[in-house]
Amino acid sequence: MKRIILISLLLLLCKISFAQLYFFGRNKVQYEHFDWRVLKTEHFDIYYYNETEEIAEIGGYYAEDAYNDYKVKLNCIVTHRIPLIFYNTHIHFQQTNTTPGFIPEGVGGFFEFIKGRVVIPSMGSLSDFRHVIRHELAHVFMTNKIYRVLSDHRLPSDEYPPLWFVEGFAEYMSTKIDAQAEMVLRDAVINNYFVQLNNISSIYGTFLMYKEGQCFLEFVEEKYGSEKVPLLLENFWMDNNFNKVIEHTLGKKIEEIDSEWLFYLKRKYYPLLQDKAPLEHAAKKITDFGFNFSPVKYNIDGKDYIYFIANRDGYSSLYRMEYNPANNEMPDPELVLRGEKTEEFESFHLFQSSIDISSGGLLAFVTKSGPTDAIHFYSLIQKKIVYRYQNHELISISSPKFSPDGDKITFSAVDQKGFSDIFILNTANDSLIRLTNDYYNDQDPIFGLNENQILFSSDRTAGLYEKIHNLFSYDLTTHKISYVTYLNCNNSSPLFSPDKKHLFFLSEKDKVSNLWSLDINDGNFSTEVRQVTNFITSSFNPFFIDSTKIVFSGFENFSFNLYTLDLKDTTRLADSVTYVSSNRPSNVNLFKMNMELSSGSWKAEKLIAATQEQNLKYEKEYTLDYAQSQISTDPVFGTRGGALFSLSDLLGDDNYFFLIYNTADVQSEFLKSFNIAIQRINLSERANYGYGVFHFSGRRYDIRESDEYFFERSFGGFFLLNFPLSKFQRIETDVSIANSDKEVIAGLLERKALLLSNSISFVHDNSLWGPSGPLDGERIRLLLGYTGDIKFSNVNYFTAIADLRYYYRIALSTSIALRSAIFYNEGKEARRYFMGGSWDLRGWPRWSIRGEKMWLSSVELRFPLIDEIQIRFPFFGLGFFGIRGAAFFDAGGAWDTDYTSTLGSLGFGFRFNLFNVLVLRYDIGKKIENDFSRLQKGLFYQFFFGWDF
Amino acid sequence: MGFLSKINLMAVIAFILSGCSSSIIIVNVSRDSDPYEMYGRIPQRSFSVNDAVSDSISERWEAEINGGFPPSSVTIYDNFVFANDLSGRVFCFDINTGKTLGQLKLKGSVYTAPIAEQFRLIFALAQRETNKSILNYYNYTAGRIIREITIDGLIMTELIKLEDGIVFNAENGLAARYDFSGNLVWETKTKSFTHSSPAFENGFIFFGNDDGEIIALDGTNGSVKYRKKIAGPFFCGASVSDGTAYIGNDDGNLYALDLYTGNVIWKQQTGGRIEMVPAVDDHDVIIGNLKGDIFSLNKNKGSINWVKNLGGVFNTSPLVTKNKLIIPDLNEKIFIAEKKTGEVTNVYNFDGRVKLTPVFHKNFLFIGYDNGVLKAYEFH
Repeated sequence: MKRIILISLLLLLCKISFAQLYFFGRNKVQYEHFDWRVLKTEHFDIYYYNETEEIAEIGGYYAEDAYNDYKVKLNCIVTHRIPLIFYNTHIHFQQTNTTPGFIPEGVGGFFEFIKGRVVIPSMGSLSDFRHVIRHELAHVFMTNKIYRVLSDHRLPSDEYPPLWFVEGFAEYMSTKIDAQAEMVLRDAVINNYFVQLNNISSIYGTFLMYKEGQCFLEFVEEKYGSEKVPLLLENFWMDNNFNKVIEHTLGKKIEEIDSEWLFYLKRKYYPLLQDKAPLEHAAKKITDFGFNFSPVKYNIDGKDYIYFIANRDGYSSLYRMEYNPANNEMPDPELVLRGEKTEEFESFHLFQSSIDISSGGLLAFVTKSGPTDAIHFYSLIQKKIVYRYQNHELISISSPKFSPDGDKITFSAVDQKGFSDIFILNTANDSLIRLTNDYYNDQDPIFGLNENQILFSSDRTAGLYEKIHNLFSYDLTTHKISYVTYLNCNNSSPLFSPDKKHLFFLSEKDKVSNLWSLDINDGNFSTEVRQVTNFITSSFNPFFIDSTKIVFSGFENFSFNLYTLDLKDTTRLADSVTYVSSNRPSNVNLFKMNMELSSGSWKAEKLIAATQEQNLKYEKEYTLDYAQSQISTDPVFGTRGGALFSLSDLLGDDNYFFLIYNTADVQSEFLKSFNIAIQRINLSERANYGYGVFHFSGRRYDIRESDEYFFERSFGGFFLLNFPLSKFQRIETDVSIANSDKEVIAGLLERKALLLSNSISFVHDNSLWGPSGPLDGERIRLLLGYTGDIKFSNVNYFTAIADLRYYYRIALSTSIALRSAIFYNEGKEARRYFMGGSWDLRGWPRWSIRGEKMWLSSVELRFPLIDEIQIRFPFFGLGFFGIRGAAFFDAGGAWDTDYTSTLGSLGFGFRFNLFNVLVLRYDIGKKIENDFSRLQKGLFYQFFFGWDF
Repeated sequence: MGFLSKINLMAVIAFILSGCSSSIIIVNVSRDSDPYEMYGRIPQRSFSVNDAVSDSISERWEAEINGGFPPSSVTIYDNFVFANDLSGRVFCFDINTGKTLGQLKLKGSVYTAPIAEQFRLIFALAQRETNKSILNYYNYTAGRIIREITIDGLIMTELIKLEDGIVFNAENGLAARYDFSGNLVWETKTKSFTHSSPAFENGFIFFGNDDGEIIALDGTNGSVKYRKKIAGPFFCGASVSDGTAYIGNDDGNLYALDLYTGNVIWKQQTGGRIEMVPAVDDHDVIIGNLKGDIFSLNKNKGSINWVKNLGGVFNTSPLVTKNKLIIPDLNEKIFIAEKKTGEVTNVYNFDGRVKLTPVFHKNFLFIGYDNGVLKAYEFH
């Protein structure tokens, strides 16, 4: 974990002591014990664990297939073995130590440069798995190709194309424009937020950037020829400016290419306006912003409410809103359950799962709860969770649906093998029935026309439309699976009309996700499918709110909102429903499916290890992560130098850090002036631990003690243990022993001590961050510690720290931040705390207030000031984003034995986030002086850097 | 100054001097009646020699150049081996020892094997950021540049030496002929991106382009004899033998065309992109693709004599001897195979991607691979 490493480095560099320079932060919890193995294929070392062998074999085939494809397309060969690390679900993937940071739910895999590792979760869908493997391997090949091109020309090999091209290229190589990409591109072009090459940095890192990059290369292929795409890499040496490389390769000015691209897209998408409708025009929008999904309706006390999951303020949560079709106003949704603040509701999986409601008023929804997903049953009447189902074999759960009587639910889940299958849970006795058990991606199950039937979507389609998601039925008595649809496009989310005369489903038949239906006659599904909605962009999660009306989530103007639609206005729903022809799209499609072609299922290709040598238990091999050395010459301190480097194993579980430097002023002190620290941090299990030894010798400056340097030699060892209780809470402990020889007065007075220090802390952090610091949530640290000299009794004191921070949001990006902290050391030679400056007691000289005891309290209003400033110069432009303001009031005091005075400050300030690396801070205000009795004359002006508390 | 300080100072001076070697090649050269003057040895680019060799080689010497090799080859005149690199250098090595006799350090990238003539080296430097090249005439007996000519377009394909001058094409579709004094004889703008090295026979200059066309120019005046759309882009250079041009394309087809009419005589699908120039001897044409397939075809009928998949990437031409094929593989290997059957009789592994077409001349086999390592071998 990043935090424990940082703490350890701090301990090494600053010696073992308590300080207020500790860290909060969330935890990457290693819930699982991964028993890693290695499958060796011709070009890859595939790391997998526990029950994921079959996924590894299938992934190995996909990887070798991609390798053979890319070597031909790019005229390039990667001559080293490529490490591929597979996880069975995104939840396990989030536990990887190959990267120190947290992995958001939208990340499907990554390629990291230091060890060349490719890390990918399977997530239940083999086609997605193949896509991500190909995407990440495209990065590997592209990196290799560019490195070779540049090094062959003896040019600096750290140059790289812009991110839009890097990601667009990986998408172009790995997949075609799918329904998701088509939806985003249509929306961007038609709603005029499509960004051309000349301004593409403005969508840096977004999904739109990925898809625009892919779209650009598909345009290049179509207009200029497929050979031009690899040629862009081959020509990379020709210019530092990548736009010039594009110009050279395509033989036109970039402005002309850009214009051609936009024209190509307009010609492709503008005709859609002829016979398709934007969501906002064809349906009624009932939410106004955010990411809103999976609406369901229920009547409580005569009022209709729509319950849905959404991210409207930075947290994914459960909301409800009153539904009154006569009301044209959009009612404000009301928060029902807050997500992402507690372990129980760690994430609502907005893009992955849907919710359902029973006739008895039980709402079923899925959240990540600790190690796996759980299904929660929330009583709308009692307004509380009444039942919870969690099975540690089912890691990732999606879309629970109630049986008509509400006693059972069916859902899809990804198990330890990485397979997405269908299950039925009897909530009365917790009994679970597994319906499918294979590598096909089975999802979106619902109870069928009777209790013996389950309908679901699956990519098990064989024959002409192999690997396409179609709808299937499962007979619970015969265990037979039958085709319900047989179409050459993905179909999902089956839904019966209330009268069960029609089966509705989402289909990508016209390239985005629209609602389609088929009739049900005498318990049989018709083979004729009919298009119901004809939106330009996609719709999701339809739910009937009455006999003809649905509520659903739809994508438009780059947000997901909820809409209602009366189906009788769009198509013939039933004989009893009047068909309104004037509103019906003119190109409603009808298709007759050829069900005779539908039979069986496809078989996945695999690479199975032929020998034992090709399938081995994982053995740790340590390689260098980073190394840095430094030599400095100073007129006062003389010449000194050192190095810091670290090693870790391929999975990043076991880390070693080495520090060595020398501070000798004269040759005779060379040996005893070596400063060495070695430590190991192990992150492989839930309880992270670290230990190490150190020897430090030289002149030190400790602001807590005095304003002068002193000589100190110390050596010893330490042990750290960190146990995360959840993503938001942890217990930290550490023990250290250090022999310390300190010159209190040079040549006159020495202090010897054998210091034994130990501490235990509780840390809580569920804060949500804005551009300059936390905006919502809480952060807490409670610490108890004891430091004693066990040999000479020269030092003996205890420590208590309580630091509480609370952030209350009063608008989307405006909040009030409160901090109360007390730091207390008591005993012989207790260390002092310090404060003063931009980080705590503003206006006062930095770290000028010191004492063995200290308290601090702050109130701050944080608000957005200027969203964006753009300055256009003749040849370039400068943009400044997210400038924020703060109004603050601070108070505090520090003392050793007797309390002296209370100090404070108030004022306002500006905050500017620079590239998400640091925040520049400028404060103006008045100090409160003289034991809090008067304001300073004039104003203080303070400029510094650092995040808000 | 202490002993250690002196050592340090000397090391620093040596380091600086080694980094500042002069840009000059000056050697005494004797007339060579059998030089290896250009890529592919002859204007037709046959890549074949009439020697029988064994399947076992031993290293004679190793030398290093500065940058990376393009898919090119060394050229040889008298006892001097010339090699080009992509960092703008041309090196001259002693053929017997591998000792560096001189190097030219110029601005640009030398994609083309330098044409080695009695006292002249002719090579082209593709310039960064300008879309221009410098055609350089260098007198290596006098150690001076004779002529530098700026050419519009990047010369990234191989030059052809004719009796009285050179012919080349550039990436922008320009084709030109210059005499040995650097005077322009003619130039023709085909106005299509071109990455296909030309071949020459009986007054016809033949090459393909990115648009999937084949073009034949009149060698005397540069006029277009014919220009025909065949299929997908040609990134593969051409070779010519007995009035038939051989060229492969991105679709994986190898074409045999009538040099004088451009009519397709036969074509053979290889299943993978073709980047290498076909190697031709009296009976067969040898072609490899980027999928790692190597084919021996009857040069008259296009029928497959044999095909092998060796798993690597074949993007540079093999050497054809009387009895063996020396096949360079980007996957850090050299295969030695029986010419008649394709049976691989020996494989040599290298610590880099093999980039140069092997050249067997004066009893040495020259192989170049990643990071500018050039090795000379002898057959046992």
